[in-house]
Amino acid sequence: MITIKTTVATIIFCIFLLILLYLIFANIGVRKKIVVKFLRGLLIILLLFLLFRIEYKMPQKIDKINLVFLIDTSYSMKFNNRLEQIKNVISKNYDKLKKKYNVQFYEFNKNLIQINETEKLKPTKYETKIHSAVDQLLSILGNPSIVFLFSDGINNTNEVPAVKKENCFIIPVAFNEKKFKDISITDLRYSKTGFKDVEHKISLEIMSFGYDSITCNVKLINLSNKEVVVNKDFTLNEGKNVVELNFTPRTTGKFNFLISISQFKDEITYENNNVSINIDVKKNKIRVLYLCGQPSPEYYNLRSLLKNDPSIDLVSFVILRNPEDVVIVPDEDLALIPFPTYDIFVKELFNYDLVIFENFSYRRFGITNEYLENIRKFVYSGGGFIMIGGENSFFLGGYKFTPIEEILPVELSLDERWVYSEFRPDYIDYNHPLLKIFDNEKDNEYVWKNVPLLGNYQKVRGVKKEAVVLLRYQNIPLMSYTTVAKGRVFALLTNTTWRWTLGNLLSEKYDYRELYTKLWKNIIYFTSGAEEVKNLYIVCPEENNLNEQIGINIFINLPEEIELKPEVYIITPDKRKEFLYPKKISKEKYTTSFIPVLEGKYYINAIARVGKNVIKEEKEITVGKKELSNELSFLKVNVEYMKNIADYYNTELQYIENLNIEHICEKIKNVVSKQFVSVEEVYRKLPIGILFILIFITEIFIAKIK
Amino acid sequence: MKKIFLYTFVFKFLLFNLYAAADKFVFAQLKYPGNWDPYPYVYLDVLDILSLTTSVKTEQNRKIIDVTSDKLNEELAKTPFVMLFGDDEVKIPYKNIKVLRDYLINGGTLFIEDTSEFHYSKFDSSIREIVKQMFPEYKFKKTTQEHVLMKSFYLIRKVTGRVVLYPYLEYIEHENRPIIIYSRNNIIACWARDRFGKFIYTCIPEGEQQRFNSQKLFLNIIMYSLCGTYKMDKVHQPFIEQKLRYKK
Repeated sequence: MITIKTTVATIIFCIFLLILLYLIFANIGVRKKIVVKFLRGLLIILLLFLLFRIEYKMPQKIDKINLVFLIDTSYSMKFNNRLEQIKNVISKNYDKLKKKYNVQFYEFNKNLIQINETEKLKPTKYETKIHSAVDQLLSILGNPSIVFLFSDGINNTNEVPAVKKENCFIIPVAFNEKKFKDISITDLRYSKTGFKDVEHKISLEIMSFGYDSITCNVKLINLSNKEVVVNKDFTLNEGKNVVELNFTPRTTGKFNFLISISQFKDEITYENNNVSINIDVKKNKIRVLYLCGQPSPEYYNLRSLLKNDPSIDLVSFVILRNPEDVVIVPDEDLALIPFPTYDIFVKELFNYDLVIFENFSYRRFGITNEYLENIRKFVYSGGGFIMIGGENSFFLGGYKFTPIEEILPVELSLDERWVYSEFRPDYIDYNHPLLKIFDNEKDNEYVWKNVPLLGNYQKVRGVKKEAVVLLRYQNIPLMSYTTVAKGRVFALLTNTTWRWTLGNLLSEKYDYRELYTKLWKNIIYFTSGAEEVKNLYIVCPEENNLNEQIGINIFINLPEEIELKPEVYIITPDKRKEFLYPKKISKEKYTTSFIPVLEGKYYINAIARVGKNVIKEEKEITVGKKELSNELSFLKVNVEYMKNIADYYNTELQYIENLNIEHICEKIKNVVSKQFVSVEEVYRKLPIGILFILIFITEIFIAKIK
Repeated sequence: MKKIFLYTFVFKFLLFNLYAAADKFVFAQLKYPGNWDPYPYVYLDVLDILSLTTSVKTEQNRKIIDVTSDKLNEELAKTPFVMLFGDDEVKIPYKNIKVLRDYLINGGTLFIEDTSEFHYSKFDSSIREIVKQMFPEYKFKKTTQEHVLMKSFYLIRKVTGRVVLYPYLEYIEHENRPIIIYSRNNIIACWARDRFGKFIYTCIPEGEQQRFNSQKLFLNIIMYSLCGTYKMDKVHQPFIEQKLRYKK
């Protein structure tokens, strides 16, 4: 078939042609040489080819069509011998097919890989994106091609392929598993951060195929000690089931839990009956026991600091009167209470997170070595212990040869002395996080170098090998700590840090009260192992599904007397701000919810105002991305998805059980042969332009000679 | 040789007294032009009783801080609790009022005693003016029976002094902490003795019982400066309430 294409350039050249014709006919009368006429005639023909871009098409014979086997080797293909079935089908047909077609093999899981044979194919541990594999393949395939897509349709998204190519045919091949039976955990919704003594909720979605109205059991097991935290029975119905597991963590730390549901006969696998999750249980309040041997400015200031920190529950005892002190009034005139030795060291000790001894000697109050042994055990089990110096601390307090000696970071010796002297630390570990009071390094160094003078220190022999020294003065480890099993022990060899609170009188530029406050908070939080205690917590699942309600709990961690209602708003993925209306559950707990309609990251913000102070907390959550892989949670063949692919490519879904590859290929080949044409562009075949110029010059040359 | 020994002794004594202030109670008094020290030897008795009856370690020398000094900030920075007594007008330079404000806000405590024993005194009016300049945002509050000063060591049921002009103490509170405590009943006079150890001033109207009560109140104020609001902690409340009920 011949076609003619007209452009603006064509019109210009037509005008030029007319001029040329005029020249030919004008010269007829003068020179009637045949050669010139021939040349000019030839010029006209060439010009026509060139200007009208004459081309023609004709049916083409196809030698070999590409026949591509695209095979899913993701994890789900290992079940029900899915991959083996594919290999069998291909090996049965391969010999016949390779004669007629250009047979190629590709496997795909998380990547698309060309392979030479299928015999060695094995299921991988990876998940897959079917649409992405098809798109990649089509972008590299030549045409015509027939692609057999072997897969169970278990895709991690619902997206279908986007690339279409003329004369490339995608034939999805699925499995017809009529007796499929499985129970699996398909979705989990929980907060990865929990709080000690605050109920934690895990929402579990269980899918049942082939089992209906049966009693099923679900367990939540703490893998560190094999303790069954939740044990719950429920009725399992065909399809989707939702179960909630509630538990209250009693200890802090990072825990690995196993969620396990009952196993039933004939399930395709038991692998998806268990899911392992990690929950980081944090403290929402630090409970501090502060024992002080005598009233002092250090006690006054440190107690005041701890008392005013809403994250800290403080119980303190200061010894106001020693047994040897004179009593000049009847007991009912004294505001004193008996020192509750037994309660502190036996009954309640393990309910605290941190114990502080300041200038406190155990000897006067019937505290035996067994009680001190409890302190050691308390530290070993994760508690924090701080000893602040004084005439009744360390060796001077009689702690040599007691269980306390073992856990202290400093060495106790007979030559220990309590020294009054005014000094500044001469070694400061500026890089240690505990001493990073100001963000600017130079400011931080300056502040520490010019810190107000301290007034006394405990002259101990030295520091233990494993201890970390933060502040030193003439080889005296003023501030040091050590980690003992799960706990931390901090030693401060002076009781005059209170002078730093008054440092603001000596410096206008730097806030030394801030230094005192931050330093002590750092020490308290660090030693008690609760570095991240906040006043406001947002608890909700980090990973959520689109169009499903997300429940949000707001926990307020402030003293009882402060009552407030938090403002809550979310920032949506399209940067819109939406206010939510929290409902009061208790003084400490508010709850609200929203339904996400967009996939992406949401930011939940909670703001509470206490006087002039604004407490703010933000939490990032994701909508649309699931933690559990479909490769294991949904093992039923996703026929619907495979059908969608077939529809998209105008082909038909095939089942491997009755797949006739040769027949399908022949059918397609017939269609393809009729469609294919080859295009011959006349004006490109010959170097017509050059020929035209040569003839034109020759014609002029001949014409001139004459 | 004797001289060297003497100098060494004096030097050590001075050093000890200078540094001992670090963790011991120091009787620190503010000095100003005027009658700043109406009862110069009272501190000795106070410190004796304090160390005899409580676990508080005391520094035996009194510390005197000149409130008009340019180095007031340096002195206050090492002294967590200071006292100001008098019966006449008090004048403090404006810049030092600011220093006092910083001192109190950052953790210091000031006890003021009006020893004039008059309802209207120059001391009182000047103090109120100074406090107004120091803390324009705060007003004096009055103690009640439940206040921490009434139970920081002894259980006090009445606010008294040598006289009972007002049945309460006044205080300025900052961050839930009384930072200025102001008495107008002349508590400090209850401690004053002559050279033979006899109390100089009679307590009116209840005599010795009132004296003892006033002395206990003063010790409570000192204990408060070292323990803060300790006695307000929950753990003490059932015991204290029980004792108060028993006494009634």
